[in-house]
Amino acid sequence: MRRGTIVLALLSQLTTARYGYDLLQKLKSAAFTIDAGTLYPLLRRLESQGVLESTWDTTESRPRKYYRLSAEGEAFYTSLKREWYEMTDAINTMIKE
Amino acid sequence: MDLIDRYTYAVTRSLPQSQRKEVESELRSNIQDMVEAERGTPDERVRKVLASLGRPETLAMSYSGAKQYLIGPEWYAAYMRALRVIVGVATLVALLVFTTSHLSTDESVVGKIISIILGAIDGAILAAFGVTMVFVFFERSKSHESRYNEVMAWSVDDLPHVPAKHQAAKR
Repeated sequence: MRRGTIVLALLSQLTTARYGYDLLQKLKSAAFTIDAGTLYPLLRRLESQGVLESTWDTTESRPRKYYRLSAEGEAFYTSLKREWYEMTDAINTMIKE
Repeated sequence: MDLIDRYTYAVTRSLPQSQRKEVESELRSNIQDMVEAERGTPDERVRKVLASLGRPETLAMSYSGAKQYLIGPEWYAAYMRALRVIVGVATLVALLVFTTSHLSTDESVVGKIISIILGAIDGAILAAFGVTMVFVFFERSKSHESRYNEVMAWSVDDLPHVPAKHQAAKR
């Protein structure tokens, strides 16, 4: 169950560009903890699938790789959100019975 | 710093050359961010962060996205079926071949039986190995999905006929 939700949680935070550790903290503060060792490779994989795009920022104290949703990723995020709402509505209806 | 070098090296050395530098710089920058947020002496902080990232080989596997299994769930059922049939047939053939070839030797009866049984076991192992290699090849081949669909295309007509004795039992 968690597997599918990680991607959705991640995409929801990437409408603005963020780097790895920033994202880790952001998810943690939203009470959605994820291992650093899971997050970093996942970012790369989502990038290679075209869901995310990245840029290196070399103006700060150390170079950081920023990720954000690509155009394709935005569409994917929207459809994932819809699926999520449909599924949670269905489950909520059933477990309230 | 030395520990971070060793860690990023351990993660990236098994990756394809084309990805190494990029993964290395990104991982290093993430580790440095994490180290900054920790408390303690510099060495303690680095150790804490690297320990939390876990075994470098595991991380490397997530980065490479390589399959961590030989035969996946899609092929498993077909693999088991093929394994049973082919290993069964191979064992029988080996039994037959070794029985005929050992009948005319001047070994003791016990010696003959042992040779025949060992021969049959050899045949079974060889068959199991061969079947496994074929399915590993299927699993790894690029056009995996289309090949799978071709081989495993299923229609209602493929349903087995119920053997006569089962039918009788039901009525």
